[in-house]
Amino acid sequence: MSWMLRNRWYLIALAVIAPLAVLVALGAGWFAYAEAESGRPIPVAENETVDFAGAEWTVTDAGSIASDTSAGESIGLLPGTSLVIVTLEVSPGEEPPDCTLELTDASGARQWHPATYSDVDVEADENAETYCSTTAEGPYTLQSWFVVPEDAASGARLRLTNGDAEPEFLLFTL
Amino acid sequence: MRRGISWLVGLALVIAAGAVVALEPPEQMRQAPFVVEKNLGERGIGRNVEVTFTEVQLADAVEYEEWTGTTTGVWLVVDLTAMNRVEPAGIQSFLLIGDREYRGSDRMGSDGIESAVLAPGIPTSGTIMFEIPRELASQTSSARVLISTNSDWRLDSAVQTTVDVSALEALPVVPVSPATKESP
Repeated sequence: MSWMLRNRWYLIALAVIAPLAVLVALGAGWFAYAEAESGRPIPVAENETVDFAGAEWTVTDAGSIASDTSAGESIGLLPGTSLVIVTLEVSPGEEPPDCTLELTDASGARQWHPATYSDVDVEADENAETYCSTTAEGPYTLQSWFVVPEDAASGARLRLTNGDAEPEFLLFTL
Repeated sequence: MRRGISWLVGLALVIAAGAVVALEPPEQMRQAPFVVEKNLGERGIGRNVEVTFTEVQLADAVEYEEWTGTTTGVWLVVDLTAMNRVEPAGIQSFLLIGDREYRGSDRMGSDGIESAVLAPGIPTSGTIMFEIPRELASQTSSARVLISTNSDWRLDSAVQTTVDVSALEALPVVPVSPATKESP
């Protein structure tokens, strides 16, 4: 009887236990890391309303202005950039939630913060908020804009995160 | 015969384990940044930052708008263009001379490039400056100017250029530039 044959049950047990030991030792940490790194997106289609973090959210309008248009020149866009403007309707529950908005490109590889008044010369619509209002009494309009390289405007998506709801976040198709 | 082989294999494993322990990199090396070295005018690409160092000068004083920055030492003034690649972040500058580490001066306040939030795909140009002893400048042939996206540069990318400071002649006054976004 060969050595392999005599020890077959030990070898089979080793083949099962060794990978299992690696998975148990590293698995929990790996999944926690992967989740913390990228979060869990909740995809939201155009004009779809979604209940999230204590409010209902709908993207009601999204558009972009290129730098080589007269509108782009008048607001002082740098050549080669575009301005993406997003308008949401927010219907908060009893406690209006805070939120953070970011724009990602179509692949999700690059992210941008909302532009500031020093980046571009635009103003929000009358009565629209530019940040999530934690003192709103009833529904309100939220407007945000982003300066991105021209190639990122097409297919861009909006990320909406709330600290209490993490790692889940909303990912709006614009 | 078989017993002899078992002892030999066991001994070899103990020696191999000892070698692994002996070769383990020290803490500092395990947490070191991934440094991309570039010459002036070359673009260095890291994980979340791209940097092109464009000019290095030595100055007795720096000038920005109405302000003149004087020093009892000397200024090392570095012009650069930086851009994020993945997500918005600021940059931090370091000057490494031997064991000494200098941080970029914050005397330009909120107008300086280290106060700016950079954006992926949209470059920002500006100036960083280091205040160093005059004697050290004249003795330093190899100083590393290093840019990272965080004050904690461990295990992240950093872009650096090496400067022969002793070869630079100090100019009386060098104008410095505020952070300015450029076309992509």
